Amino acid sequence: MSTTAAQTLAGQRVTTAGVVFFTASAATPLTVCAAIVTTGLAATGRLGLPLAFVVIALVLAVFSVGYVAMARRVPNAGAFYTYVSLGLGRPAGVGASWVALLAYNALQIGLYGAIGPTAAPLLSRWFGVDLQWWVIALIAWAVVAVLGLRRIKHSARVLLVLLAAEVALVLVYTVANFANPGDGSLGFEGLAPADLLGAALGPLLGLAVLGFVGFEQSAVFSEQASPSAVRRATVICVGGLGLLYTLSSWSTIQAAGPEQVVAAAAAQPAGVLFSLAEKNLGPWAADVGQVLLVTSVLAALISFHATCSRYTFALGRDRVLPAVLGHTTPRTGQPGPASLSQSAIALIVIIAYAVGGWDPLTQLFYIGGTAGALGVLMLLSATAFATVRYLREHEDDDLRSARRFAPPIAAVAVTAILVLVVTNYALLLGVPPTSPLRWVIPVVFGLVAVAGCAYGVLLRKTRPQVYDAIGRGARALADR
Amino acid sequence: MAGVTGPIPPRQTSVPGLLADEFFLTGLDDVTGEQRLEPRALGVGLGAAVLGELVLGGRLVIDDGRLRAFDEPCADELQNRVRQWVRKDRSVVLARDWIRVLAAREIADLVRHRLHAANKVVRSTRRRLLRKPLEIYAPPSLSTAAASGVRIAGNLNVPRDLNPADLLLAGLLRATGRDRYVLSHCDPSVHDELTRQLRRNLGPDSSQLLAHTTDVLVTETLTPF
Repeated sequence: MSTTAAQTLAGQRVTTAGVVFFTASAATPLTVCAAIVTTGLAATGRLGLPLAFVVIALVLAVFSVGYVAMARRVPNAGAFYTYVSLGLGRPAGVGASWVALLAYNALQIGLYGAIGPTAAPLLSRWFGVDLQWWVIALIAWAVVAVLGLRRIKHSARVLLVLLAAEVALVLVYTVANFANPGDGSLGFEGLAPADLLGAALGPLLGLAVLGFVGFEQSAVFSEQASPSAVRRATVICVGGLGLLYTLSSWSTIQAAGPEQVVAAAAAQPAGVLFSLAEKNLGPWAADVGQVLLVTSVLAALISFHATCSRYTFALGRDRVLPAVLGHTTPRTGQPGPASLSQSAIALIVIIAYAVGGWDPLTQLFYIGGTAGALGVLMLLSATAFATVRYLREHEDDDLRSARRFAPPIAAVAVTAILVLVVTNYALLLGVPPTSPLRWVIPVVFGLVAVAGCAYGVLLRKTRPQVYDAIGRGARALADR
Repeated sequence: MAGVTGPIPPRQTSVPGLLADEFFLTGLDDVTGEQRLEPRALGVGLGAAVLGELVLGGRLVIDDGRLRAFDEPCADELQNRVRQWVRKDRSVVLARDWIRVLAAREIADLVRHRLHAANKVVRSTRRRLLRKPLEIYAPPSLSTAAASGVRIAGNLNVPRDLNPADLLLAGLLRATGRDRYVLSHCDPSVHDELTRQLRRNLGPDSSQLLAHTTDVLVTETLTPF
């Protein structure tokens, strides 16, 4: 054997590019540019989204300093849950894990509401078949459920190609938009502070956060990639996605014309990006975009399904959820029971929406997405505080000043955004200001967090061995 | 192994020390002879099992997660090879990393070779529709493959203490999820019995080895690539 063991090990490591691709494909850039941007314009009636993306990218960059430092010290694939357990105590960790489960499930299941309406026009135009949204959702569900049980190594390559195509397409659209401004010349509408400030500030920032959900996945690789690869990948993802979203949303506003874009977005919620592309580049560009949008939503479904089942698996391993969920299937090495349970929940929701006749786009996708964004914001906020505390308690000499000052700033900033989002939640949901949903969803998340903490305290009393293992990951299992 | 009944086979069916062989055989399907463990889990489990052979043979200790191999040759060629790797190559010291290195160096092939050279398995290929042929390394009589699983299940059922090699094997089966299959015909209490024995009887080196194996396997499960 001519290579050393370290070289063999290095050859097995996940590279920076691998982490970037996985993390960015979880964020599904095309879905964000096509759906979230137009939703933001239609729901808020304000143009501040491009600037909101800049603000959130900066906040998340500051957040990442502490997050990555934590990932280096605590290499554990449980990410949020582990960090909160270590920083804020185990009961808070259990609370965070419950919030995470609810949030990721909401995001994943919400996407089933988007796949029908995006795929249906294509199917009817090309094949002349008119399918109900839930038929398409059930087909997607079956694909996700089957892939969720297998190791996705091979489909990961497909996802890579799709991601590259998505990013390239968004860039082409952006260039075309800039080349054909609606008012004849480019302006700063969308990037001016006045567009962002005001009542729409909270919802716009909340929507922008939703666009970045998935970036936190980089820490999952902290055991399999080198620390510098995780750091680089996080920076590339936050910076790259921020740049892409900002340029795309700003160019959309410019191409549609700042005066008309809100009305256009309200008229066709998922179509502004594509109708602009059709006008600027020709029908092929819109067709390619719509096909990629369907695959992008499917990729997001697969990726969030993996996140959900891995979270469930990690909690089952720690016995916070029933132990059976912490088992892997020997044939595939994948968390089978956790994956099946997530699929079961999704199926129930799809059937309930189909039977109830509710609108998939506004009542499943938007509500699932915004509820998930709220949960992820809560997690980011808790993790930021946990990072502050953990890094302060485990201070060592190599703690550079950036790592000393960044976590408290991030904690305050993320919490401020959370407060803004909760106070303007109706606007973000796109429901009337009197709708009970505006307080039901935050209250549910709050209750889940409190219930999780209470369960953590209960565990300390009733099953101290389980309690001790919380957040310690696999290492605790052998002592059990 | 469903439906296996009758008296527990006598203990001498186990050849002491060749933990990796037994781990490999326990993973085989008792009807088709296919390996039921997923390749990565098999590699990790076999890497740990070969290190376990060295630990049980007194050629290797695990000190605070770090491997230390002694300069004392082993009779078995594969064990010797791995011992030399660990002894001479100090670029990697953690047990966790060595398990990954062994998995990456196709330890499964090396173990298959060892089994084949010792005439414990025969090689056959099975053609499959639209897929490349499957290579099967299985003992001529598949009940031989199940023997160690049956022995472990029987002893846990009594309950009777497992010998150190069987206990480590059972621990590795649990880490890879194969225990649910091996113990599927037993009373559910055998799982608790195994937990008890692992906590009480497993030596410090084996127990660290198992911890690191679990660590690697969980990480592999949690990361998508």
